[in-house]
Amino acid sequence: MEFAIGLLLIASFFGFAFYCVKGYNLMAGFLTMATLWLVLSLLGTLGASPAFIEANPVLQFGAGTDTSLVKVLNTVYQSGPEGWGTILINFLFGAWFGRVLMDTGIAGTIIRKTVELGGDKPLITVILLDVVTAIIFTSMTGAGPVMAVGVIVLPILMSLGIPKAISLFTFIASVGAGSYLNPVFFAQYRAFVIDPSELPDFTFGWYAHQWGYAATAIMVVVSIVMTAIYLRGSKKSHAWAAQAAPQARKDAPGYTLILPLVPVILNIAFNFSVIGGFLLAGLLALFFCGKFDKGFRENIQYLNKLMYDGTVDTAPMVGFLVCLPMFNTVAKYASPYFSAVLGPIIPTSPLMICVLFTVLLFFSLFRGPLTLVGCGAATLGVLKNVSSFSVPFMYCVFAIPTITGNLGSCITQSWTAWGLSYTKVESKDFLRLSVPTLYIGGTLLFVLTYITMSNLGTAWFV
Amino acid sequence: MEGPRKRWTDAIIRPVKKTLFGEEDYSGASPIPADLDVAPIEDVARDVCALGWDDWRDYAFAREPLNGRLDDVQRKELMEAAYGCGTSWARRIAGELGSSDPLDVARGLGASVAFEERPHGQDRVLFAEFVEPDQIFVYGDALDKAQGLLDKPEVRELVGSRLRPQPLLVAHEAYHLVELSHADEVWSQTHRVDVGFGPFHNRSRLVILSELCAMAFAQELTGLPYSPYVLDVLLTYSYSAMAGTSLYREVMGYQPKDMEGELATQWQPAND
Repeated sequence: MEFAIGLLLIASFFGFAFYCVKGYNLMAGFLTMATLWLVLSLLGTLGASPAFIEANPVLQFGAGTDTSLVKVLNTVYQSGPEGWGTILINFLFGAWFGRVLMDTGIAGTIIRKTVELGGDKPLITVILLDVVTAIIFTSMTGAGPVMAVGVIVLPILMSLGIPKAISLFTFIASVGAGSYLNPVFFAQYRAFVIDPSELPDFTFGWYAHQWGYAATAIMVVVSIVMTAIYLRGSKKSHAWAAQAAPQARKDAPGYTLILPLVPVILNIAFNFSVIGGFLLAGLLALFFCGKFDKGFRENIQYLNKLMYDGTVDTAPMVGFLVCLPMFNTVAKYASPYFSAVLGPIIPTSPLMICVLFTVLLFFSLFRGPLTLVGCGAATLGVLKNVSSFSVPFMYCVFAIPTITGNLGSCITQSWTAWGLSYTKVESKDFLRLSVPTLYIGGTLLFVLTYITMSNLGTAWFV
Repeated sequence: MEGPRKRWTDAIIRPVKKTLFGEEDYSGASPIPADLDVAPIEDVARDVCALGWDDWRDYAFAREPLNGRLDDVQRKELMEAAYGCGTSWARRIAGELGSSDPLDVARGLGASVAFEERPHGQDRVLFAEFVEPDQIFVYGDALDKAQGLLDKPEVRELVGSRLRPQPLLVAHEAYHLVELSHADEVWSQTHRVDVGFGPFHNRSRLVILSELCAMAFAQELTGLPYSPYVLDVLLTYSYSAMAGTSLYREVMGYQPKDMEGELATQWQPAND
C-alpha cells in the first residue's frame, strides 16, 4: 500500500510540475496539492503495513496515540502558515525599504553615477551595472524594486546599443547574484530547511562568510563573462522607443548612497536584526534626503504611504507564501511514502547530491522540482527523509536552483515576466541566454557547496 | 577675469561638494503630482507641434546616460550641432540617391525594411529599430495606433499633413545606417565629450547625439515643420493617455512624473 501511495504522490508531483510550467496560479496550486497529499497520506495509513507505520512516528495518530486527526489538520492548515509569519514580516519591511530607496532617489542616483563612470563603452558599463545591481539587491526585495531599478538600467543598456535580450539577461542575472546575500531571502529559504527557532548558530553572518560572499562573487563574474561572450556574437541595435525619463531626477546626496548596504552590514557584522536594519537605514535615508521636511502629520502619512506601496509590491506573493507552508508541512507526512519508492535510488552522499542537482538544474525552471518557490519544497521533504545532510548543506543545495534558476533565469519569475514585456524580448531568446548561465554558474556553486559545506560537524545536523 | 581661486573652486570644490552632498536645491525625488488629470489630445498635439528644435533639449538629454556630466551650455551647443549634422546628411544622401522618400533612401543605403506586429505595454513604446548591419524594423502595432489617432480630424488639423509616422520612422532608422557606413565622417560618431573626473580624462561618445541627428535627418527628409520627437508623445498617448500626458508634461517643462512608482503599481505580478 505504501508503495502505491508513493507512486500516486509522485504522479501528482509531476502533475503539479506541469501545472507550474503552464504558469497557473501557485497559491491555488499549493493549496490543492497540500490537501491532495494530506488526503493520500492519511488514507495510506489505513492500508499500510504495521511495520511501515511503526517506523514512521509522523504517521501515528488517532486512538492510542497523543495525536488526533484534528491536530494533524491543524498542524497543516493553521500552524504551518502561522509559522511563516516571521518570514512575511521580513518581506514587508524589505519591500518598504525598497520603496524608500526608490522614493528618495538613492537607487536611481547609484545607477546614474555608476553609468557615468563607464562612458560609452558597453562592456565597462555592463560590468559596473552588474556589480552595483547585485549590491543593491542584497537589501532590496520584491518585484516592485526590481521593476523600478529596471526602468532605469534597461534603457541605459539598450541606449548603448546592447541588444535588448542581453540587456535584460544581464540585469536579471545580477539581481539573482545579489539575492545570495539578501537576508530576507536567506530567512525565507532557511525556514524551508529548518524551523526558524532551531539551529541558532546558522546565522546570516555565518552563512555569508562561509558561502554567501563567494556565491555572489561567482555569479556576478559568471554574469559578466557570459554577457561579454554574448556581446561578441551580437548585433548592435538602435531603437526608437518612448519612455518616461527617470534620469530627469536630481541626485541624492553622495553620503546616502551607502545606505542600501547598511542593513546587510549590520546583520553580518553585529547580527543586528534585519527589520531593525531596514528601519534604521530607511529612516536615515528619508531624513538625509529631505523627505521629512513637512509637519509631523504629513511625515507620518508619507511613511504610511511607503509601507502601503511596499505591501502592495509583495501582495501577490503573500497568498503564495501563506499556502506554501501548508504544502511544506504536509510534505513531512508524505515523505515516508516517497522514501518507500525513491529511498533506494536517491543518493545519500553529498558528492552525488551535488552532481545530481547540477545535472538536473533545468528542473529549477518553470517552478520545477528543484526550486523552493515551486515544487522543490516536496523534493526537500523527500531528501530530508531519505538521508541525513547538514542544514547548511541542504540550504545551499536548494538555494542554488532557487536563486540562480528561479529568480535569475526563469521566465515564470514575476520580475522577469515584467522585463520580457518591457523590453519586448521573446521568452525563448531570454532562455537561450539564461540557461547556459544557469548551468555554468550552478556548476561552480555546487563545487563551492561541496568544498565548503559537505564536511560540517554533527553540530550542524538536526 | 576669472581668478585662480574661482577656477580652483569650480574645478575641485564644487564637484566634490556636489558629489558628497548633492545639489543645493535637492529636496528628495520628485513627488508624485497630485493632479493626475489626463491632458486633452487637442492640447497635447497643439502644444508639442508648436515646440522648436531646441525646446526638446531637456527631454532628449534626460535620456542620455552621461547627461549628468554635461552642463546647459554644452547641451545647447550639441543640440544645434546635431541639427546641423542631421539635416546636412539628409540633403547629401537625398542628393546622392536622387530621392528624399525615406523608404527609397533606406533601400538605397542597402537596408532591408521589415514591418512587424509587436504588442506593447504602456511603459515603453517601441516604434522602430535598426539592427546592425542593415535591418530596419518598423512595428506595425505602433503604426496602427498612430494612424487611429491621426485619423481624428481634430488631431490631423493640429499636426498638419506632413506628419506620416511610417516614413518618419524609416527615415530615423536610416540615419543609423548612414552612421554605420560613414562612421569616420559623421559628427555623431566622431564627436567626443570629456566625461572624466578630476585629473582622469575619459573622452566618450554620447548616444543621444545619434538619436538627435536621426531626428533632424528624418525631419529634413520628410519636410516636417517640427521635431519628430512629437511622435514620442502622440504615440505614447495613443497607447495610454496617462503615460502620454506624463511625457507631455515632461516635455512642456512640468515636474516629471514619478514613473518608477507609477510603473511599479501599474503592473501586478502574477506570483512572486
